[in-house]
Amino acid sequence: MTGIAESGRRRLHESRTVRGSAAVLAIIALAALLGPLISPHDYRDTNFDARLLPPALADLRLFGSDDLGRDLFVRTMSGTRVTLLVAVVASFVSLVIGVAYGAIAGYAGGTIDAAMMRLVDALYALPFIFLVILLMVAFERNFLLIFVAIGAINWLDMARIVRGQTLALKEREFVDAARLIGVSPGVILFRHITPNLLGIVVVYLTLTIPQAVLVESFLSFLGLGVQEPATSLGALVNNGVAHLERTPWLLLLPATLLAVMLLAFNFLGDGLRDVLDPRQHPQ
Amino acid sequence: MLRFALLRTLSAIPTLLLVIVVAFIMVHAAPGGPFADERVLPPGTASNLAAAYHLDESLPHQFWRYLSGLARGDLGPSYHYRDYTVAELIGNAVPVSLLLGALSMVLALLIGGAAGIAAALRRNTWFDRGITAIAMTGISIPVFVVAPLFVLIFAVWLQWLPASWSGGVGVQRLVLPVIALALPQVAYIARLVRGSLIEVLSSDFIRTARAQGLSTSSILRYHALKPALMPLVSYLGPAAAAVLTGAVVVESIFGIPGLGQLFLQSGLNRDYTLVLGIVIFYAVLVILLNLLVDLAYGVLDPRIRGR
Amino acid sequence: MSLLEVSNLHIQYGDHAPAVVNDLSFSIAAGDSLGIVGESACGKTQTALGITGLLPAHAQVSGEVLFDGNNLLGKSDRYLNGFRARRIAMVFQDPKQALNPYLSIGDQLSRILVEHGIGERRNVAKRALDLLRRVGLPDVERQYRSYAHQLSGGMRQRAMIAMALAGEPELLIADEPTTALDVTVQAQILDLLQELKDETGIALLLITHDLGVVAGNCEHVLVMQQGRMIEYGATEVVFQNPSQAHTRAMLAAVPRIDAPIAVAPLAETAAAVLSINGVSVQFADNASRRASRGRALHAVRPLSVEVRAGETLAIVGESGSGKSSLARAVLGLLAPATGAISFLGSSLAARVQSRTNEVRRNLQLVFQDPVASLNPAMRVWDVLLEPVRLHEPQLHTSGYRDRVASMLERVGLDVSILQCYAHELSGGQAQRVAIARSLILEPQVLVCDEAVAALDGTVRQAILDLLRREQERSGMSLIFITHDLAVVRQISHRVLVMYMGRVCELADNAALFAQPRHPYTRALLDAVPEPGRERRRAGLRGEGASLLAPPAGCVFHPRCPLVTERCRQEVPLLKTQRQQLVACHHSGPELSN
Repeated sequence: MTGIAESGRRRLHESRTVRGSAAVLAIIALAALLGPLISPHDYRDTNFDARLLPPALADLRLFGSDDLGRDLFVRTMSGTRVTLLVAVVASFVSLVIGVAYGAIAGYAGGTIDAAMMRLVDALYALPFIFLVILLMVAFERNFLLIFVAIGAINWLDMARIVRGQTLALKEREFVDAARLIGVSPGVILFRHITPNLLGIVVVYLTLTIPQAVLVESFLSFLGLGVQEPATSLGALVNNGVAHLERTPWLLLLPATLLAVMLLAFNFLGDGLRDVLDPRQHPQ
Repeated sequence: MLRFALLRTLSAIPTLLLVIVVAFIMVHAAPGGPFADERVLPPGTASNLAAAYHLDESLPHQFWRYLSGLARGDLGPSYHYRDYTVAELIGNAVPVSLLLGALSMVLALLIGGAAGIAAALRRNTWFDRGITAIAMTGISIPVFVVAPLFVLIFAVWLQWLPASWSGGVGVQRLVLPVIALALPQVAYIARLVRGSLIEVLSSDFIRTARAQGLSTSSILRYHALKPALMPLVSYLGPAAAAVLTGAVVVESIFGIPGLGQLFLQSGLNRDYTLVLGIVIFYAVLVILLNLLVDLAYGVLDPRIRGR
Repeated sequence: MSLLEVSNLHIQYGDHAPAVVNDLSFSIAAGDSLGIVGESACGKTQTALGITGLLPAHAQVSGEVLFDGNNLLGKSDRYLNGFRARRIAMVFQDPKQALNPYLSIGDQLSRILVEHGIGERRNVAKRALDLLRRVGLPDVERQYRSYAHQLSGGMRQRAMIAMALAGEPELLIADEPTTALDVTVQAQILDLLQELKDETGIALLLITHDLGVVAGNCEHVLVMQQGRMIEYGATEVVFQNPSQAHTRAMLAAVPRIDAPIAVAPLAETAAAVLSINGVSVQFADNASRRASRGRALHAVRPLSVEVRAGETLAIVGESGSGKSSLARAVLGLLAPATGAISFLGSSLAARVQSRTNEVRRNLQLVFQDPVASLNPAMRVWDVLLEPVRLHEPQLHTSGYRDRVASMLERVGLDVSILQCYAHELSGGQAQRVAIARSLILEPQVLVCDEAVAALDGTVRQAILDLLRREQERSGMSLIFITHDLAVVRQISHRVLVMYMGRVCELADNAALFAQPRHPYTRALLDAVPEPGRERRRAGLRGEGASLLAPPAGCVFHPRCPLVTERCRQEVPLLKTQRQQLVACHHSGPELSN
């Protein structure tokens, strides 16, 4: 529990943006978890007598059905599950790599730091998404690969931010004070520097998740993500585009959910940054 | 300054090499050769094909052959479109993609920049809040949602504009793809400029300018605009990369015969030389843009220029 | 009639927050000078901004500000722009922040002239150059093209003043104009303001925390405390006969160079605790990308000095003198390039991490910025517990608690503070916590690096008293590093004066203040602004040169009033002169007057 977090907690309670967007995300997550359990339909079951049905209350077809007669509500919810799972896991991967890499580079400093950051700079210049597409094409759309690919893109930002913070914190006088007392470097990194990174890491984690959602949906939209009959929001949007003219709800419903989810994540990240990031609050 | 420019240019070379190596290895490590799809090839034909495309050589050998070809601008033959070289295919697709990308970027800079400045100057009014909310929405809705929605609304329902490239002519068929591609960038740029101008306007030197009795428009023009737009300069690199990515989606939705669609097709066709060629082409483009941005920064910021 | 008449000025942020300026009334006549003085957050800067309409939009302002009969309060920028620059000009505290980094000095200056239609358009550049010349900038064509980052602090402030003068205003408001500058440069800027006032008859409103600055420069003074005026009148009257306790406390807290020495003389037999033998510090210059890259920056030239048991050694110098680098080398926070440091006769490892725990506990440091020296993520309890647990693990929890509690009592803090985080403390409280953290290990040497520079006058005095008490109690030695010679008058035994990495003078406290033998020491003494003492005109020209290109011969020669050919060529050695060590070719009897 850091001092910044402590004083931030009060502002956190006051921030309507944070509370509102967190509530929206909670509802979406809950619906994604429970929706498929409650509905009488299964996301895999095709039914050729019930193709392209419009949304209706009857038979609990809230979102209607798709071109194979599968229930769109259940598919959308299970797609949301997949999208969220991929995004959260991928963000966690990028968090672990980014924080470790950034903190080590920042604390080591000097030549090690310079070399490590040169690599990050070089990776930044790569058109990563194209390499990911290449990867997906080459390796047969391996589900695990999606996590790795997205994590590989997103850790760069985290590493840069954590490294910058560590570098600044390391030069702070309280670190010198700890060194003079005789606190060992490992303990300084763990007890004096890391707690002060917490706020900024939380903020950038919330901003990394929507990016990961976007990348996953993008790949699924191109048909390079999850494979049928499993689905994700991007794949559902793609399918909706195919039936755009006759049954627009196949596009509109999953697309709206995706947009609302991204919007809520972005608002949450923004709100948290306002509350937690000290750089946004110069005295 | 010249030294800075030279050093910066040289430092782009290892990055470029890294891209080529990574892409090359990825393509060649992929399971299944380029001709795996063509069912039953007589053994002789298979080895002949392999020999013709130098697939029988060792990987370092192939890489060296590829690299020396690259230096001459030769990206090799396409595996799928057997009558064309990769360079020809890319050359054919580039103009339309470039037009699309450049128009979107210009649009995004103009509208996003203006909206951001206007919002910052009317901070905390309904106008500002409106721009901020719209911008946030724009960032959150992906291109592959916006583009089909545009088709649905403007082409299917209203029937104002063609739904695809082949269905229209001239400017008509450019409107929807350009706007769809520009929209997220408009939103991002508006937010960026708004935030940066607000920060600049609250800095000490603006207070000095106010104390000097300069009018609001003079303060904006002479003191605030340049420092406020500096972050926009550094965003141009990532923005270009984002537009290239978005173009893959937009081109495939509108059926535009550009580089994005070519890339997607080549991927699905397992046309590895073409995939490799396009990835390298994109990388060069992005690296070049980042280089230009860095150099522009050096020219615009007196603190870097003086070094 | 008054030029400026402020009545019942009231400034507040939010309906429930206390007013930052409360019912303030004062006036300034044409050509008059008024100093508004007070400690941090007393509302003095808010007052200045309120007059010129520069407060943030959400400030709630009431009262009346009459300038030459026109009410300025609550008026639009468009209306106020008729007054700004042409009639009221402002100079701000930190010229580095207050100048636009993207525009050259000439551009910023010309803009004011063009905007207000001052002079003919084709003569703008010439006029701008004249203004730069007027404020004493050398080589004005070059400064005209320069950007803020290319100028030294003093030159930036001169450029700022030139801009303020562009519209030939009747009133100049200067908000802490010298706080960000070195003492000798501060004296030059104050001279310039005085000179402008005498020559042009401009009225001056000087905002400062420094009573000494007011004394030498203002006819009237207004003392503020917590948003209210507590005293207002002719400067001499107020300073000689303060009616309020707070004014008296502020006056008493002004460090004086003629104050009685408050420390007991050192016993002849006191042994050396710490010896610094030929220590020098160098940095590789990686910051600049000029041809000089890779060249060493000599922060401290080889230097030797001893600190004896119970002694306070003051190290005095301006920015770039090497005083802090020397301290960091002693503490092992950076490795010296040459030389050795020994503690109680045994030689120390260069780096603190290679030193023994016994050595570490005996060499402790108090920093300049007390809040920055405390980890924002730790409570005071954890801050104080860490050193005890590390060095005396045999104590049990109750033992820890007793140690921390008794330490808190010694530094004058209540145990209720233990649950606070650094940002919840005032500057004075935070510095007491930082001192407690250092003293809890009972060190034999305590280094204080500008430990009171960031504190208000009255708080500073309390911290100095605390340090002296602790020294008497434990007999530890103090190395007290400061830019302000007057601060160490009361508390030091010996004083070491540094300039650009070299020792100018090392002498006993009494001898140094009575008879400074180095011209730089003399200049430092003259530059100390003190109420009740006539400030002498700045004796020094210019500012310290770059450490990357130090002047040949004596490093001080470009600024020295006594410079001769010999000074330009020959580095003066440190010589003993009547028990004072002095490095100057001139330090004979001719300097004492």
